Amino acid sequence: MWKFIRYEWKLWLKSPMLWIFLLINTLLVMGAVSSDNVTIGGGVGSVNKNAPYVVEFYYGVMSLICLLMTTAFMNSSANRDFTNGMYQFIFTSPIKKRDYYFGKFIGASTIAIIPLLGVSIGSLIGPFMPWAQPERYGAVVWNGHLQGLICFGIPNTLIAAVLLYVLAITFRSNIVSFIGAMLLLVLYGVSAGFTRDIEKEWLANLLDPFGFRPESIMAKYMTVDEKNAHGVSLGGALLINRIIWLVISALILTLVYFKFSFTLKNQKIKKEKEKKDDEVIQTNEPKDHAYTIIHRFSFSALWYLIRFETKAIIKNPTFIIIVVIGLINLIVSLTSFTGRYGTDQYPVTYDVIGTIQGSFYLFLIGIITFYSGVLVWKERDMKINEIQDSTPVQTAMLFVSKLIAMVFSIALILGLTIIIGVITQSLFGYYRFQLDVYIKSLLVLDLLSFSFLVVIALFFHYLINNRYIAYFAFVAFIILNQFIWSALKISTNMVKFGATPSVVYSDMNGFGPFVPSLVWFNIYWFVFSVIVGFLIYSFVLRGQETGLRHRLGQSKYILVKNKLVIGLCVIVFILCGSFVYYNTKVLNKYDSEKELENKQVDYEKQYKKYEKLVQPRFYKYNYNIDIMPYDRSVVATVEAWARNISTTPVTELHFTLPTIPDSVKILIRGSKLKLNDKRLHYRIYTLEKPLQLNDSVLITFNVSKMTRGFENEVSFTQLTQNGTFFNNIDIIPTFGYNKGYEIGDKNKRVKLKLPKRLRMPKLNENDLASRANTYISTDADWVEVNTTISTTPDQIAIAPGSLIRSWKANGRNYFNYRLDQKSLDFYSFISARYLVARKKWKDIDLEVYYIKEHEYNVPNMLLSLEKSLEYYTANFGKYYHRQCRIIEFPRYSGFAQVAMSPRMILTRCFMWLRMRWDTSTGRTRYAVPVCRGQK
Amino acid sequence: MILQISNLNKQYSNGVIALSDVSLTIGNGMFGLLGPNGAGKSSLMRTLATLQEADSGTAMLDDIDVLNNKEAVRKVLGYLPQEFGVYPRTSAADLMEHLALLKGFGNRSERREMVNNLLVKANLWEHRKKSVSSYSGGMRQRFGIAQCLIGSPKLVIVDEPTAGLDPGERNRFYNILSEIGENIIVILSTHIVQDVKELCTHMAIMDKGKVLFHGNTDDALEQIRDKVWERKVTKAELAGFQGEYNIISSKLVGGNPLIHAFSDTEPGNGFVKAEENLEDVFFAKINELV
Repeated sequence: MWKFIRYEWKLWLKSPMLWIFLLINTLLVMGAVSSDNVTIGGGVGSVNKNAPYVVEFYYGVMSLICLLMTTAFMNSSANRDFTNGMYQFIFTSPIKKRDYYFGKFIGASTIAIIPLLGVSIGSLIGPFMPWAQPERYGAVVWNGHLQGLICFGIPNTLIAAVLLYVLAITFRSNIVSFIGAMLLLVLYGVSAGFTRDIEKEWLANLLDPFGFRPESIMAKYMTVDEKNAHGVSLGGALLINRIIWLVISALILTLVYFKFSFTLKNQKIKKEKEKKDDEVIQTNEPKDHAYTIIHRFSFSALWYLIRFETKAIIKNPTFIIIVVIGLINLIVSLTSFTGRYGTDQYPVTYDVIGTIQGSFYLFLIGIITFYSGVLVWKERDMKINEIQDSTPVQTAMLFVSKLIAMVFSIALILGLTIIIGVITQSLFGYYRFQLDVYIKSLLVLDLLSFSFLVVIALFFHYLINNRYIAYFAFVAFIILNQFIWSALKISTNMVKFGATPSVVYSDMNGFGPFVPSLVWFNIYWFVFSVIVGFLIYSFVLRGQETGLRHRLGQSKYILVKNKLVIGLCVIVFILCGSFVYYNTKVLNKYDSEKELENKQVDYEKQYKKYEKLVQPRFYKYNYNIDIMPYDRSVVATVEAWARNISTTPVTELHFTLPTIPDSVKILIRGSKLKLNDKRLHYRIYTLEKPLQLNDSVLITFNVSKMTRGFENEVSFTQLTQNGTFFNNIDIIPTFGYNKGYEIGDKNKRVKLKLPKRLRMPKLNENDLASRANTYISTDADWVEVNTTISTTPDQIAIAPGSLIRSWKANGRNYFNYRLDQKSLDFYSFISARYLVARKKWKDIDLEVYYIKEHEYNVPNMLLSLEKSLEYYTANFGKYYHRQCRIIEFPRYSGFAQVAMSPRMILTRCFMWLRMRWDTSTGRTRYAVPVCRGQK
Repeated sequence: MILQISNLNKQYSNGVIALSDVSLTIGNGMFGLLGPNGAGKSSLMRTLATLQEADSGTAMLDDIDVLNNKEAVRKVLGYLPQEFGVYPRTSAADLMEHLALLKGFGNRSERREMVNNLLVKANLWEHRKKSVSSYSGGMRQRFGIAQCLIGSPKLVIVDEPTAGLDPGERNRFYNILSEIGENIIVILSTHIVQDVKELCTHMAIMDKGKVLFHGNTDDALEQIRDKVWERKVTKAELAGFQGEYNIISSKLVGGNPLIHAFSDTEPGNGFVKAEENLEDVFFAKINELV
């Protein structure tokens, strides 16, 4: 046996693959340990970056990532003698089956552990990188490395190795091994579903072949100090999991050993049923007339070829198996489709779509990666290429049919997921199938982005003309394309291949604000892909000449021949690109992440000195707001009264401007603009007459936000077609320095050399400066608010307080709201096509603003409001406002605003889509909290 | 039709010279290309089949420039490569139809009819619904020739079609080939002398990229008339004879070597005149004796 082990070792230690894998892992971990820009399986938070817990965690994650590397080792070792055609020599030589079988396994599986050591190497050298911050590291704790290897590294490699080796040696097929690896990942994914439910944690503990779930469950309650001191030790659920999986693996390995045999499997000879040929041979005499030959482009021929290629993809057993595994994973996710905190939620279409994207797309990317290669190499694999290449068929037709067939197959799979989604919905008793949303999300938007990927995959295969390098290039490209642009501080979607703005569908607003930029970016990348398509076409190999010079010549020839069409495409691309550029960079400006950070730093450095400056405090507002929801624009005139309540005279008024309006005018009688920092949005006005104690000043703000063209990423979802929702501080300036704009992240502050700051001031009753403010604002106390707000005739606009009157003028709806009681200075303005349910409780108006699609729980909400008010007023105190409102808004933000002025703002799922509601009390585990009024 | 090949040269990137100044004139009828493995036969045929470039030289099929106007060649070409595979799970009829489509037959019913005719011609009619990958070697080669004939080509190139076929299948294959080889150019490459002898009137012998002989088979035989002598020897004697005479071939007959010697005059020493055949021409040419 020893000689087989040694043979494997010698072979692998000399192979570059092993060391490349080790290098990749080392670099990955080193990156994650030394920089915050690289993460493996999520950030580590405040724990030391080389803490034993982190190292162990990385061993876990990397053992998952290394699965494919293990596949490569095991597969190659198990099949080597077959692929080389050596098996006949080996199987007929006098060796023992035991030595061969186990020798190869031990040899290859021990080698497969080596790349994992990159975790230790990476985390040991990471802290010494020049960009590393010393304070993020503790001493090296070897225990973490050891635990990582014992708990994850070695067992996971062995478990995976057994399965992959056994599959490889039994089926001798790369594909089956690939599927085996996928299967392990699926098990891992399935176990994830059970961790969400605390009562099923034990199942998650057992099902996860990587031991990751028990580890995370055991680490759930570890403190930072504990994580810095030691990792999760091998014990409890983790130990049980490891033992179970290792025993299972050992059993499988032995079982297959007994089935393994040196004699070749009998090749199955299918006995085809002798079918009597009923068809009469039409003619033995060849007809005289010539057949129609079309040597031009014809759609019917193209269509035939597309069908032919598509059939070749979808009838392939491997393809079917991968899809089926993906679908199993999807169905598992869909059946455990529960809402937050164990309550059931209606399976609305966008949520089902989200599940499809989350659980199935990895498989789709796998299919694209794998099958684009298979498709390109199909003819050569089958050795039919010489026949095909010598036919007069146009090269472009061959290539285009493959491209379209690939896209077609993906569309078919997506169609299948839609059917499964619809079935799931109906099984949950939910029948509002939004087929249009399914189609737009999956079959238009996602299919387009997958098509871009297909184009690039084909590009690499045709250009490089080496399947394995092309696979590698494609995967490397995807990964690079994912993060290189943000690393280079470039955030435009125009350079990140196939990038389109992220989109959130909401039941209230559809695709709303995202539509224009989505359309244009998709056109942009589509045209780009067409150009790449021509480039690919020019490199399609026909015949046996693989020399670079010949291929370049051919490429040039084809490109020149098609220069008109290509030129046209390039012009369209440039036009389209200019238009996108004009919209995203000229009409709309956005800061890269880095620039945003710089601004924050500069703001703090320049204006922090004004933090303690005495400023007046707002006490009354008159808002005049015009919302143009369908233009996504707003114009507002705000009269604000402020009073100096300190004994220090105020000579200057300082403002930090909101960043969203594109025009802010500030009018103060008897003042002069002293400083206007347009970059950092800071202004100082000098008052001719200083404000003494109790002196008031009227400040008029004229603000407007006009949405022009489209953006790179939709930045301001508060202004939208149906469901405009913004806060007062989104549109009007605040007094003085606003600490909220400082960089909050502790580690980032260190990196940017900013002083440490406390999240909260220390508890100290003498700290009057901190005690002077509520948690809401630093420039106001209790305020009066009077609002006149207008919107389009089909919408209802809402502002804080009682509705005094509403009227129609200039073809618009006007509303006047006034606060009955002074309130804290934070509230919002809303406009949407609402339905309203009303009820009276004592003299308080209970109102629920909702959309028709989410009417399920409206009566319960009203009931809940009533019951809650009853209980709280009886037990806690008076309710000061005259209304209590629940208002729905689009799901662009995941928050709810509760008790900000007399209303509750709720995004979709908290209550709207819950399926069960305890109607007897009108309360569930989280009853509606009721607004707190002014004391 | 006349295929005129002039001064064709080809060197592979690894330095192997595949074609060296190859010039041939090929008219209608069966043309045999004879040569040992690695003689450059396949390189020449691939070049004619538009799959490979030549470094220099020309090839004209009437007025079609074979090397530069590939599309025009492909329209009149039928090609059966030395080795070919098929798509799995695809029946012979389906595959034929697919290839017919690639050759430009857009009309579905016509395509069907033509495919059926060819399948009948190749004796594959009753197996047309079986997957080609399940065919035996002979059936597969017949399928190969059937696909080759799609669209009544003017130039048919078959590269070593009978390798590995049993005698029965070989005959069947020859029958199909000879039927079509009257009005069009059929180039058949082989390293089996018998093939050429039975099928071709014109032939060329190639070795190491060079054309050693080019003409009709009678001329070929004429070159060695009265110059080939044979004798049975024992194995022990063989080495001695090989040193002494121009031995062009030796094969075992009944366990003892029967050697053919090339000599302008009668060598004596037990040699008797052998009946000259193409095989002797072949070996004589390769050993550069004529």
